[in-house]
Amino acid sequence: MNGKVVLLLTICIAVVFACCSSEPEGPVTRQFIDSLAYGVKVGDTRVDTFEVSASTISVPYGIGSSSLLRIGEIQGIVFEAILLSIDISAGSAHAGTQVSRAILSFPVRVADTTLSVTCHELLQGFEDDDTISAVPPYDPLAIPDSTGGTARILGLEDQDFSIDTSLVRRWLQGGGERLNLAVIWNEERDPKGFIEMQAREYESEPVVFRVDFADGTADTFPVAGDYSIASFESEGLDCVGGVATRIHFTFSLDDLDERAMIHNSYLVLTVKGEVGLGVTPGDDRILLLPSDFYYYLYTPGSSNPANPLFLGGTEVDNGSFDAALTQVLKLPLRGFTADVTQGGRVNTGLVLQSDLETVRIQRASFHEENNDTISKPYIVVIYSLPADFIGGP
Amino acid sequence: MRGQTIRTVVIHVIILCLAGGAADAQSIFGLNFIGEHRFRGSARQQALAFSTIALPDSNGALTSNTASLAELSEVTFSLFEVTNLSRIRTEEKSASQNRFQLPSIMIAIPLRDGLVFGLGYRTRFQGWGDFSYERDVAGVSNPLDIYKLRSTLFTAPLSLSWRVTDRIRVAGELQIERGSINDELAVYFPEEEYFGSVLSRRDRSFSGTSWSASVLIAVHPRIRIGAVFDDRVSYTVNQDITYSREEFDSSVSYDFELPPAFGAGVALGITDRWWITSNYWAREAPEPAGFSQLEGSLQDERLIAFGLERRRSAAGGFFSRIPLRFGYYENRWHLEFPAGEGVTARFVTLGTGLQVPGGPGSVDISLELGQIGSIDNNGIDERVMRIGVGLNVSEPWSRRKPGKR
Repeated sequence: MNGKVVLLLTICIAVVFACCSSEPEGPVTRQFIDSLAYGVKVGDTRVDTFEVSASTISVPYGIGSSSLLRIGEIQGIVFEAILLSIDISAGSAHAGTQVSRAILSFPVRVADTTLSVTCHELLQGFEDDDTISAVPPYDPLAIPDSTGGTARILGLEDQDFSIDTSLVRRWLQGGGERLNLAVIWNEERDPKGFIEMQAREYESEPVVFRVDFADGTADTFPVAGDYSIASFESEGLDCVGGVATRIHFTFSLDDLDERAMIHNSYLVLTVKGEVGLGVTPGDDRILLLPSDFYYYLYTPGSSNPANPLFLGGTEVDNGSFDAALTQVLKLPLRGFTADVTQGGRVNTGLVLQSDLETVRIQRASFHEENNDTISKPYIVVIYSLPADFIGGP
Repeated sequence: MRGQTIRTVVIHVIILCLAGGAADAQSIFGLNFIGEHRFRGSARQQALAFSTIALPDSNGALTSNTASLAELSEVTFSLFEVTNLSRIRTEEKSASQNRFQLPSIMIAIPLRDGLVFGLGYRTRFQGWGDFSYERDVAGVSNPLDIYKLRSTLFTAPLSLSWRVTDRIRVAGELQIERGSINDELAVYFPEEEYFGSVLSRRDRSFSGTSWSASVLIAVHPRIRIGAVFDDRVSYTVNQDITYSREEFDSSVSYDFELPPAFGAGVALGITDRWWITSNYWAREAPEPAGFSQLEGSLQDERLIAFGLERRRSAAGGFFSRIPLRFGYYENRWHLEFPAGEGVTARFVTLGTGLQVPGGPGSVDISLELGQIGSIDNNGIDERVMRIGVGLNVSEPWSRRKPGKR
């Protein structure tokens, strides 16, 4: 027989041997496992739950560099004022010239109604980078319009506010660099409504201040700074971006079996979809931003909210969810639980915040009561105990 | 021509052996326990049911009796590989298993006429088990317990065989014993994101030395008796247990002793070509040090084996020129499962062999058919077919003359 044929046959036999597949041993070895004949006794796998206390913490952060300015109220987030800083340094060129008309023009893009507002002169300046959580001091006398009235309506059809010309002339002759104004929402008259407009950061058609002079010339003064003043009165467990409201969860894991080898652990939250806000209408229609709520979960450097270390810490998880949908969230705690239970980390609790806290207006709220379908926050730890190896000396 | 033929045969046999590279346990009853072992010999010995303790072999170095190596007059290389196909059954379930074993290798080097030095590698035990079970855990998807069992114990023998007289051969053997047994258990959640597996693992490394003595006596040209004594093996065991949490890890050393074993047998030549062989081999039950789960489940081990061989003839047709071998053995295992119910293996064997063309040497093949355990007694049995391939090649060693390649 040809040597190559013999070699080929040999290889074929070898391949057949090698390819003979075995069926799983598992079913037939069961009795050896059950009788511990292998000397390996598997440890229990358990699911333990731990109660969690939660509180809402307000952090003095505000959004100054948003692409949209907002005024009104949406899902409990109140935008009580818009601050404007107008560069009027070029106004000195018109000193002595009569002002025939002055218009403060708001590029409203989204409005579900009209809002009653008043304009006021701020007593101090501001910058977009500032953290402003309340309207700065302002002149309580509202700026009159060309007819002397002070009540103004802001809406899609009402974007231009006339300003008393004598007042404008005085501003321009004053030689100041900036004109700082506050447009304040009269919440008592219009308790509902929400308006969004383009901000300076949108880089197209921001708020402008146009002045027509009696000599036939005109000038437009740009906005050098704009700011939406937002506030939020928490009524439960609320995590809000734009007004920096965080939730602090505290709990004890002392009852966890000290031999636990952890597979996973997670913080369980039930979302209140009816009050959630993933995206404002303006973010949705103008900026085309996604509607998910982006969260950031960390373990703070201090368990005391008054301690500055509380505001920072070690990341535990981040991700996103639909804040407008009632659902149960399981936020994985990754290595945090093992670190705490094994003594590698002090348990300072967990803090949930919007991951876009200084960029986006978002709100996620969570149930803090138990009933048949919802539950207050709790922690689940899934773990196995070490296997026992039978034998040894 | 002869060298080329030998090379060709060696290549072919090695290819066949490599097919068995993914070694599996010898038997489902192995239980990752040190006590399991396989009997000495190559395909010829397997075909004669390992009843060959009194049978000299002038062709191979892998024999049942090391004293037989004194018969060799040339440097001899022997290799043996077994493939194990089995069907494991319980009352409710069954599974087919293919279990390969690492080959045994032996080289015999004649130092002078009647004095032969041997060294090699013998797999004493090889275990390999991968299986998993789903567990019910309330409140979460069911995890899998994944078992991974690995073990290899081998012997590196250094032997000296001496033909004392025309009738008596003796041998002494120093056996270097090494190996490890690993038991690993992982708990794994296949359906859950973010879930990490947790691991528990025990590694035991074994090291020791032992010695062996054997004798082969030709009482009559057709009556041979042989005996082998394997002294106890005192293993030093280094055990490391590791977990996913390092603070639980531990290490310890202890001793494990495998009791001595002895075997004795007779080979009777009915005619020049027809021989009957027998063997009795026994070892006391080991103490279950390190294997306390087997406390009360270990017993004395025993092998009773018989064989019948028709040797090859130099003349005649093809079937006259090949050997025919048959055998039967009953091996009572060291193990009881469950406690009090011994595990017994019963096998019939057969085989033949071919001469390597062009020179000394042979390729032997063997087949074992039998059963280990029984459902009635042990709740599980294993029906086994083992296919063995053995290779023996020889080459005289001589000092090369100057100027010759």
